[in-house]
Amino acid sequence: MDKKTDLLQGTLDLLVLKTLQTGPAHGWDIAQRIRQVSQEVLSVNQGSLYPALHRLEGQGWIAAEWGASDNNRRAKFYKLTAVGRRQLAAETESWERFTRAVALILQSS
Amino acid sequence: MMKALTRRLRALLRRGEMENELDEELRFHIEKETEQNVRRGMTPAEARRAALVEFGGVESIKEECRDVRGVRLLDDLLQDLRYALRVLTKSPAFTLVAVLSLALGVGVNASVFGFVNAVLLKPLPLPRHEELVRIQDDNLPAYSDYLAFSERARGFRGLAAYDFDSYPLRAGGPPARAAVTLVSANYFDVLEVRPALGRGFAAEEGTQPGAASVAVISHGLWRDRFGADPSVVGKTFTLRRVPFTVIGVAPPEFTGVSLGQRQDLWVPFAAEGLLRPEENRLKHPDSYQAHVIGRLAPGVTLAEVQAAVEVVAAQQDQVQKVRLFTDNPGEQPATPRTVTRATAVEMGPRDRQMSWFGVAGVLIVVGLVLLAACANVANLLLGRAAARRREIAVRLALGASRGRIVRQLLTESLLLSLAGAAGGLLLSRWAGDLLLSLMKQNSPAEASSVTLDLSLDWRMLLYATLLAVLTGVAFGLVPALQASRPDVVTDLKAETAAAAGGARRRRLTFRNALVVTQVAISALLLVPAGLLLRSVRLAETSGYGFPVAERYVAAVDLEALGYDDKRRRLVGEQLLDKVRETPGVRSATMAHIVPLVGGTMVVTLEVEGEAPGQQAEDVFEENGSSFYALDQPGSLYMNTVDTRYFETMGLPLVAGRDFDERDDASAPDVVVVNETLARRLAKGGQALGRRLVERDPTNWKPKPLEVVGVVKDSKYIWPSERPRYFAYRPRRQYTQSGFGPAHLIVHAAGDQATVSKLVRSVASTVDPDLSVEGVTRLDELIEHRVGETKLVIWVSAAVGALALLLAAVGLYGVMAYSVAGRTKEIGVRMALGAGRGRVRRMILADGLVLAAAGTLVGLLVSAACMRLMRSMLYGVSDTDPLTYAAVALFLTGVALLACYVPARRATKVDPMVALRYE
Repeated sequence: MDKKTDLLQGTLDLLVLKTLQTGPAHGWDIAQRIRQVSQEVLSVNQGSLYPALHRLEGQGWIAAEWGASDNNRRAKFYKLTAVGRRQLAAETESWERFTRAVALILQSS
Repeated sequence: MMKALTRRLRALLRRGEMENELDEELRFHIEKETEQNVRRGMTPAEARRAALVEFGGVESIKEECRDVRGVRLLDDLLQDLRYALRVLTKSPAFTLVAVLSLALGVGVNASVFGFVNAVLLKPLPLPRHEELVRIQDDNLPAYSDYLAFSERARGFRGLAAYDFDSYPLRAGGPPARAAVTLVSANYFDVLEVRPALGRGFAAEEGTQPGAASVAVISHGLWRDRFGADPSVVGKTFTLRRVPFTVIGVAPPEFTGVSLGQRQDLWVPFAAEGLLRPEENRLKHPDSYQAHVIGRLAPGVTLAEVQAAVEVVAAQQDQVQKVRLFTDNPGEQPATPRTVTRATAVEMGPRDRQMSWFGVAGVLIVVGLVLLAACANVANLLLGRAAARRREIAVRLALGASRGRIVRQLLTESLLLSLAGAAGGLLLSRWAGDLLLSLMKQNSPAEASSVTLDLSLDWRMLLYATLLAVLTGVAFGLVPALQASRPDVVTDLKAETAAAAGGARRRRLTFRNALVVTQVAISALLLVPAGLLLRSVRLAETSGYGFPVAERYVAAVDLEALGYDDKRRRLVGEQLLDKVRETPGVRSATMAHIVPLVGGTMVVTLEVEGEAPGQQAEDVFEENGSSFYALDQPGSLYMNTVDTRYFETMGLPLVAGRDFDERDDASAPDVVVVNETLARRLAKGGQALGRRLVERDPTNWKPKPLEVVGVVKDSKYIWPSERPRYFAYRPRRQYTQSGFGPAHLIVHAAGDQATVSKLVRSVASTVDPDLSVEGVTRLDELIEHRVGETKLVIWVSAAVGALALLLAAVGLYGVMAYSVAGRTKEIGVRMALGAGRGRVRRMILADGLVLAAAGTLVGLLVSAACMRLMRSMLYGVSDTDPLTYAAVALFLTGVALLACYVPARRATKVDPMVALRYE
């Protein structure tokens, strides 16, 4: 548990968008999936997820709607919008360019 | 953008709902996390605590979410507003003084802007006025330009032209001069004005003089001259003896498209062929001008028509250059034509520019009053900020950011300034109407029919709001920044005298500076009012140099008759003879100018036998200082008069003779001079027989004028003027055209009504078309002239008094605050034996130092600025010591009054209470 990596500024948006690519999810789900998929390395500060979700909703990249969760409780589900999908593609590309560049530097030295 | 806006709006309107949703969303998360923790084997209580810890501070996260949603700012604003309202209503005295100060300051500015708006900005009150444009050059385009534009310039739905003239009118009642507007036939169509009765002009009426004897009359003329006859269409009347048929009556609200210009009736341009067959614009379209107004075609911009007009104008310039070079090589090259949006008051580009300069000057003056008001409110706010330091310190300690506090305080000051602006707008409506009615009372009857539209419009509202925001920030920012300086600790502790002393002294210095500025502004505004007042007082107490009792003046319009020079002269002589023969008339004469009533004629002073440039001698001594005897060195004021002028005006001849019937165009040219000029000409010898030189205005040829008489000095232009050179020339030695109406001056026993009736009946026997207007007592005319200046005085004095009132309130505020802060010190002084008188003197001295500093600054600035006013002052120097001393004394008196109350309060300090105070 102590080998967690803090999230880089701005990467939370990317992770949220990526997570929602597989389908709609509510806030807690998103936090869980990020933790599980990153094999517990990335920790999302659970509270800070919500301002990010609201911000992304405001930008129109994700949309929210209330629905029923597993045991029929009301929960707010977020899903990717068309704009969000494009944004995800763009951000993924720039992230990959960035990591490639960093990797090259690390290898060359 | 729109989406974001609707989201925000929704967020604001459905705040409760969104809050609930946010709660629910976060609660759901924590419950899920708790469930998972329980599944991992924790006890429910442990699980919940772990979930909460993992989540972080719920409230701060909610706040972040709200921030993201963007309701924070609006939310805060509402909260600030509510708080500000509560704070302001809690101290009504402060609020009242602040709002009143601002209302006065904004009111003065809004009043001025109301006039600017009406004169320079308001559009024509016509349908779809935004499409109406004027084509202007430095002066006015030639009539031929108009014809070319209307034929070739694209982008106009229609292009109309008009020009003003005046002709003697006969239509029921006595003969009178009618303000005639000559128009193109499409005039009413382009303006989209439907006559209230009848029709507008048909196309052929605009071009065929034979068809052009038709007129549309104004609603006013219809009422006054045709008794509001509903079947007036088809009736006839005459202009300069030419019969015209009424074809329409303009609607009552239509007064032409040049606000301020009287317009009695409209006739087609072609009618000029009937009214002036010898010379008119149909014959010489290049030498006559026309006002051009057009309506843009749909979708066409100003820039597009400007380009189109420039193309045509360039072609016109070429054509005209060829034409003009052949007969008048000295003609100025044509100036660029500009297309501008048509405003209600017609004004050339250059006049408009000059007006804006004037407006800028006046706005600076009234801006100073607003500045004084702002200084006042800033002062009050600073005083309050000091008192509120603890409240603010508590809020800072509880975690409010400094920006938040500043925002809160600015909200308060903006609220104050908006309330002030609203009050100011109300005041300006009232002041504008008052000023307009005063202006009408003090202007000649003809101009008083003109009304300015001062009603409130969006421009006024925008201007007042802008002023409010500007002033709100201007006077609110410094106090807000000072009050929110986060030295929390010192302020949370009971404010000890030692800790706060430094800050208070600093604040006080700033406040002192504000008060000094205020006093200086009042001085700067009161000095010109004082100088003008002195000028008028002198005018009223000084004699005119001639008697005014039983003298009557009437304007006689000989030119309007349309006769040639010879016949015109004959009619004038007949009129004069018949008036002189009338019983009750002692004497009568005609003159171009009536002294002290306005109007001047100035020529270059040239003395035969003297080289030009000897004007240095035209200096004389008065009370030890030297003055020019002239307003401008080398110039000579003069008047052309008929025989027996000096007798009628009661001006005794000192030497030589009066003009007589033989002094006509065929006789040697003669001149009568006043004593001051005679002294200058005589130089120890005789003035009689010396010669002045007059230049022919067309070819500059010299013409000697022999001095045949010397007449007593009198006042000519302004009652308190210094002696000036003056010369009289016989009317009979000039052609009578181009001078405008002459003045008949009658010395007769009887009241105005009698003399008026008498003169009119005599005139009608001489020629039934001869119009004699406004028979008025001479002293009444002179008083009118002084009255105009009086209006300026009262307005500027009122503005100055306003500034002084604001300064007095400011001074009072500072002194009261200083006394309150020095309670302990005063207590100690009194305990040590200082008497009440001594304490009072101490406080008064403090206040007077401020007032004296302000007065000194104000007077010095005045002395530097008042030279701008020189042309308005007669008999008073722009650095008149008496006026400056009076203003200083007055300011000191008001300052003493303002300081007296705080000083008295200081003497009421009980030493025991004061010493126990902290």
